[in-house]
Amino acid sequence: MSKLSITAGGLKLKNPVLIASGIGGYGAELIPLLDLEAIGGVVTKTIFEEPRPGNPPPRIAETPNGMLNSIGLEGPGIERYEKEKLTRLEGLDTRIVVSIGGYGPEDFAKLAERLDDLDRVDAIELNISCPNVKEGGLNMSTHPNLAEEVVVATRRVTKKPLWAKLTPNVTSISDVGRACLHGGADALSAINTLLGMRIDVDRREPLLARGMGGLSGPAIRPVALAKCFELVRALNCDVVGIGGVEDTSSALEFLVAGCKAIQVGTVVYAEPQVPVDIVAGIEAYMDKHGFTELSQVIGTLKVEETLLIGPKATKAK
Amino acid sequence: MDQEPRLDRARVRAHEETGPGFYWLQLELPADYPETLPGQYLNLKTNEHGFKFRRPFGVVEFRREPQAVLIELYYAVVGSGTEAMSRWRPGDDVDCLGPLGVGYSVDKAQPALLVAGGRGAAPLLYLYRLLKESGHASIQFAFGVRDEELLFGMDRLQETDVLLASDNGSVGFHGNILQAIETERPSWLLGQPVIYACGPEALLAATGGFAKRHALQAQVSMEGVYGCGLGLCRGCAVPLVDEERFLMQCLEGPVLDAHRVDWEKVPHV
Repeated sequence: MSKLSITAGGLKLKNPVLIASGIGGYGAELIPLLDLEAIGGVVTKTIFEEPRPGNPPPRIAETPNGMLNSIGLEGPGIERYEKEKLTRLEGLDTRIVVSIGGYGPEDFAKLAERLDDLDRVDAIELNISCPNVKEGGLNMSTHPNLAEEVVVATRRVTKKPLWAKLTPNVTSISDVGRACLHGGADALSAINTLLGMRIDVDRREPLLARGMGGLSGPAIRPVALAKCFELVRALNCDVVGIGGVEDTSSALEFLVAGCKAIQVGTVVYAEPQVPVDIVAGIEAYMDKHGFTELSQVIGTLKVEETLLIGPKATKAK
Repeated sequence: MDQEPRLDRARVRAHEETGPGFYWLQLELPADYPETLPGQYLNLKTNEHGFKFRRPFGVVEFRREPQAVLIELYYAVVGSGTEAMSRWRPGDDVDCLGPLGVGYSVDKAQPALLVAGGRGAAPLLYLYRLLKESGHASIQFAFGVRDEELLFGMDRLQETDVLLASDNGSVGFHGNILQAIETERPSWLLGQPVIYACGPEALLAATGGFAKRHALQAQVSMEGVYGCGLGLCRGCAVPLVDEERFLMQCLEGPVLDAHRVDWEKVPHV
């Protein structure tokens, strides 16, 4: 399987397929249904310093080819996470990327500093982009300066690879991405969910208690792909593609667009084994096209530069 | 969860429309399929185009044959998923995740009062059979429906154990099933019966209040939208009395102690 290996955002992966944050719980929960050692890694559910009960129900709704969620980053807090969740992943031959959250740069730094001491943590993803957290009322990934502050604060306390997860709910994702890279991020994970809504017309109520929530699933894939392509093109950096990956072909779209790795999300709820199928599918694709290493796939999109819309590359690729 | 969930290709052995838009489905699973108890459920892929949540169904019957396990379900066509299911034919393969959730926990010493609302009768029909076979001393089945034509599974019950009620008076007591018990069978409330209920959330909330009034234990099986059935998506949060945390219905339920649920905070009760 070594031909599938890749280094993404400073992290060496046996293959480019990870499970996205918020999908596979804290990792171990999926073990009965999915061989975690067959995939590149797992990004664990975002952890805050303190336990969080999450949002009141209803928290989820099905949407055309996707879903809305308003979970509100429910979690046990770092103390229990470390003792009860992370320990279950000891000895597992797969990468563990721990997603962390907070209300400001100092919260992120505190968690990153703590995780820096833990060998089982291979990288840290900064969730600066969840749409479902009310506190502070601010999504740090919508402001380049705030995003950069979070990265700078965490970079100062850890040598582990740092991935900054970006929201698509901005005018220019590359402005925020640039700030994160400037602050010291090793990769940009894109995208988090799009803000969405559904309404029960008989009750004339939103389907989610909080009104709006994060839209995910195959429905958002074209948006995700465009954002990832924009980041790769404008910033020439390591991007971990997320958003509606459901099979080999959709995973390959992100890789061809220039993402170094991909994360599989929502579809895992319905089909837990899909990430493993995608690994096999990418290998079959490479065999079919005679590719011997993944770099022959990544960023090989053929385009006519003069015709492309979107921000232009800042550096030659 | 007692068992670890597993993914199987189940096979449709039989499938019949037993009432208007109401179906009985018999699935064949591998012979080593784990024991699945009343209140536990299977999460099925409906094979629609595009991403869809799996659909959860409480088990109505579980039988071991030498070569297979047979599991029966009832379902009503209520949306696109169950519509797609209604076209399944014997021999079709079904992507099945299960067994999931926590079922009823039977108190052998106490009389059993089963309270069913509409299609919520499904898991209680299975519980009824197991209680009968175990020689349980007292088993009563109270079944409320909107209209007589929505009754099902009556051939699985002994008439003398059953009390019926309907919202429109087309069968049995005219009114809700809890009123029916208090009015028609007050003796069923003697001897501290344990209530095992399943049905719409409004009935379950009412059952919680009813159990409190009569100082009875009540286990209720809730219906809900599950993103995963595995406790991963944290979507099916149930508010609890005196606890800040939410309980995950798909994993820690669907059968819950009615007295633990904060019914005022459950949506649409």
